[in-house]
Order: sequence, then C-alpha cells, then structure tokens
Amino acid sequence: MAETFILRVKRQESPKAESHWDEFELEYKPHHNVISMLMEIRRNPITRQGKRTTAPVFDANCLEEVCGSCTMVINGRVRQACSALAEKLPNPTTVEPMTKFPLVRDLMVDRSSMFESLRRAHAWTPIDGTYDLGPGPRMAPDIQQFSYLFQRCMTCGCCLEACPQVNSHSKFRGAAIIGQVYLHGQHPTGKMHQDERLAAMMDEGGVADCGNAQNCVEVCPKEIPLTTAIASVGGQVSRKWIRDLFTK
Amino acid sequence: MGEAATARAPEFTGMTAGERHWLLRRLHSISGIIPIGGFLLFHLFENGYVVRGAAAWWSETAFTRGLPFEIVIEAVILWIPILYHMIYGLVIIATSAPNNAGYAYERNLQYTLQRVTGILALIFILFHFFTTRGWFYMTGRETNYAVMHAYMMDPVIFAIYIIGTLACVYHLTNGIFTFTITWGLVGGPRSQSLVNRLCNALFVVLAIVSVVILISFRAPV
Ligand code: HEM
Repeated sequence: MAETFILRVKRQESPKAESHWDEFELEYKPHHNVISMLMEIRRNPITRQGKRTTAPVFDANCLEEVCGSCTMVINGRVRQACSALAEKLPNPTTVEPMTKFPLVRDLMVDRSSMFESLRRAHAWTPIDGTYDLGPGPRMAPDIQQFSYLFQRCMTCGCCLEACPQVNSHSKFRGAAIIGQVYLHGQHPTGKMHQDERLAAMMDEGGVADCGNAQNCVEVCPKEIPLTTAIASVGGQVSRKWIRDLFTK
Repeated sequence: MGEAATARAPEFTGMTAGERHWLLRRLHSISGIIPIGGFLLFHLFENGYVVRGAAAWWSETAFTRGLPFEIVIEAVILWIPILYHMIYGLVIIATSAPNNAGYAYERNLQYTLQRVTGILALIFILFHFFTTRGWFYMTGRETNYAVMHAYMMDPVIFAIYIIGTLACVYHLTNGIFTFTITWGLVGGPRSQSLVNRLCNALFVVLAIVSVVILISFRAPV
C-alpha cells in the first residue's frame, strides 16, 4: 500500500452497550474527507489488526456542510465530518459521536431534542390564515442581512456539544434555539408572536441557564452570532418580565 | 368543543414554573452586583485606610461598627443575599460540566474560573466571617488592628487571605462582564470583547489594591 491514513473510530453497538475503538487503515488520498473514508470502510470493514467487523453506522446527507447531519467529534472537537478533509487532518485521526445527544449506534446520534426545542419555543413565523392576509410589513435591508446569518442555522448540534452548560445534569437547551427566537423576533410578522417565544425562553433550560462560556460562537460552522442573540434575548425576556411585573 | 372562545381579562394565577425559575436566576444575577459586589468594593475602600496606618484605619472604619439595628442591616444587605447567592451558586455549579481541554478558548476558561473562584470565595467568606465578625458576636472580642496584624503575620492565614481576596475580586470583575450579557446590556462581539477587557483591567487594579491592603496589615502598630 502507498501512503496510508489511520482512522480511529469509536464504536458502540447500541445505546446500552459498552463502547470500544476500532482502527482502520486506508490508502491516503488528499481529497478524502471523513465521510468518504467512512464510506470506504463501510465497503470493507476490516480493522488494522485484520479483524472483520460490522460496518460503522453514521449519518450523512448533503456532503457540503449545509445539512448538519454528519456532525461528529473529530480529534476532540465537534464539526461536520464531510468538510473534515484528510489533507488537513492529523494522522491518525479519531472520530467519535457527539456526547450531548442520545446515541443510536456508533457515530449516529438522535438530535430530536433540538427540534423539540424549536417546537416548544414556537420558533417559526406563522403566515397562513384562513384567508389571504396580504403582503406583510417590509423589513429594513440591514435587518434582513443580519437575520440571514441566523437563517443559516442547520440544527447541527455543534453549539450544544461544545457547551459546558449543556449536559446530562442540566436542562439547558443550548444556543441554537436562542438564535432562532432572536431571528423570528426580528421579523415584523414574527414579532407579533415574540411574547410566546420569550415565555418559553423563561422556562428552565431557556436563556437564563446560559453560563456565558461562549464556545457556541467559536464552534458554529455557519459563524452565527449566537452570543449576540443570547444577550438580546436575555434582554428581551428581562424587559417582558419587568413589564409584566408592573402591568399584569 | 364547538364553544366559541370568549375573550377574558387575565386572572392572577400565581407564578408559573418558568417564571419561578427565571426569578431565582435573576435574583442570583442581581445579588452578585447589588448588594454583594457593591459591598465588596466598599469593603476594599474602607479597609484601604490601613495604608495610612493603624490609627487611621481604626477611626475611619468606626462607623461600620455599632450601626443602629446592626444585625438587621447586616442580615438584609449582606447575609441573606450572600447566602442566597452562595447556595444558588452551588446549584448552578452542579449543572456545569467544564470542557476546557477540548475547547481551550479564553471565554471558556473564564467560565470555569467563575465557578472555581465562586467556590474559593465561599470558603474564604465563611472563614473570614467567623474569624472576624463571628468571633466578635460569640466572644465580644473586637477585631482590632492587633488581631488583623497577628492574622496577616501568620503565613498560612496570610496565604488564605491573598487567595481568597483575589478569588472574590476576580469573581466580581468577571461577573460584572457576564452581568452585562445576562441583562442584554452589551450585545455584539466587538462591544462584548471591549467590556471583557475593561473588566480584566479592573481585576488587575482591584487585585493590586487588595494585595497592598493585606500587606499593609503586616506593618507593626
Ligand atoms: C465576593 C462575593 C461574590 C460576589 C461579589 C459575586 C458576584 C457575582 C456576579 C456579579 C456574578 C455575575 C452574575 C451574572 O452573570 O449575571 C456572579 C455569578 C456567579 N456566582 Fe457569584 N459572587 C460572589 C460569591 C459567590 C459564591 C460564594 C458562589 C458560590 C459558590 C458564587 C457562585 C456564582 C456562580 C456559579 C455564578 C455564575 C452564574 C451564571 O453563570 O449564571 N458566587 N457572582
């Protein structure tokens, strides 16, 4: 074999099984990424020690870092596996599943808690009625531009994985949802329902549970200004709370 | 089903679980600044008179001894808020899982330091209280210059004071920064980084002041 690349993959058969590491050795190709390497391993799952094993299970979809499904912990840092290029990775490289979500198998986790957060916080802008509501109010271009940054969120889970305040003994739901609450509050139509979202942000697990470690903004692959959203939503909930104290 | 929804004025239904959680968090945040942070600054200020000598220190701090309703004032503006902040602080610390090895960013380090200095401050504040005020309440012995001087000449107690005071001061200055985010006062990355640096600078200033004060107590009467 020519130059080789070693991938150490964390394996776990089921949510309750013990985990272990498998080492795979592949031919080094500079244009490989972690997903294409895992696909190659899947075709012929034989470890470096010559032992035949099961094909590693993983999630992947768009392969261009816009869907978020292949998010994994690569060399100790959370990122998308499809944009982790072999030529930029140390050799050997370790690949593990995210730790802040329930494990399905091997590298595959269940991120449905993030979608549950979106549902609880009403993180959408309702525009359908029983009749034509007509065109909505207009939005200033600079607000549009800034909002667009938050629309790039792909619910990948990097911000939750890197957050020291998101873990099994805390209810904090992470930064992504706070970004989406901010986004819909910026929209003139979405704003009409912002109080509902802010009420959800008041609950345990909402914005008050942020510990300001700010890892979210460091690891976000879409460079979403999450800490700006956290400060703004923290202020919005505070103002709503104080207003309600005096007027309700 | 089938009934038309009728508009009604809101009734008072008490606090929801969410509102209660929010209130506990906000009280923790406010109590760190008012009164605890404010008291810490005042405490450094009043004890700063020690650089002018034992007599100046004793006379300038006289008014905080023998306040009318002393116990009530101390309890309301100090001990109840501090106890609350300590206990709820421990609850918050119990929900954190520091990950500085994998994510070695400056803010993440400050996050962990905020928790570590909180625990050091807790130990130090209790120690400091019992060896000064607490002792006075129990035995009637005033914590005068001779007492503080003897404490500061003891290398172990002196070290405890240096570490404890620096922990309190770091916890306050870093807390002022996170307070501005908590309440939505400072939003963007550029303004946050500016405020963070200002708070770090304030830490350096207060750290020097604290150490100078502690060393000044080592001067013989
Ligand atoms: C010198 C006494 C103390 C002062 C002046 C102080 C002040 C503060 C301030 C200003 C904050 C920031 C609040 C915010 O971000 O909104 C804070 C946060 C915090 N304090 Fe204290 N504190 C003191 C003692 C303690 C003690 C004894 C503990 C408990 C062990 C503690 C635990 C915490 C924790 C865990 C946080 C972080 C809260 C969060 O991230 O939400 N503090 N403190």
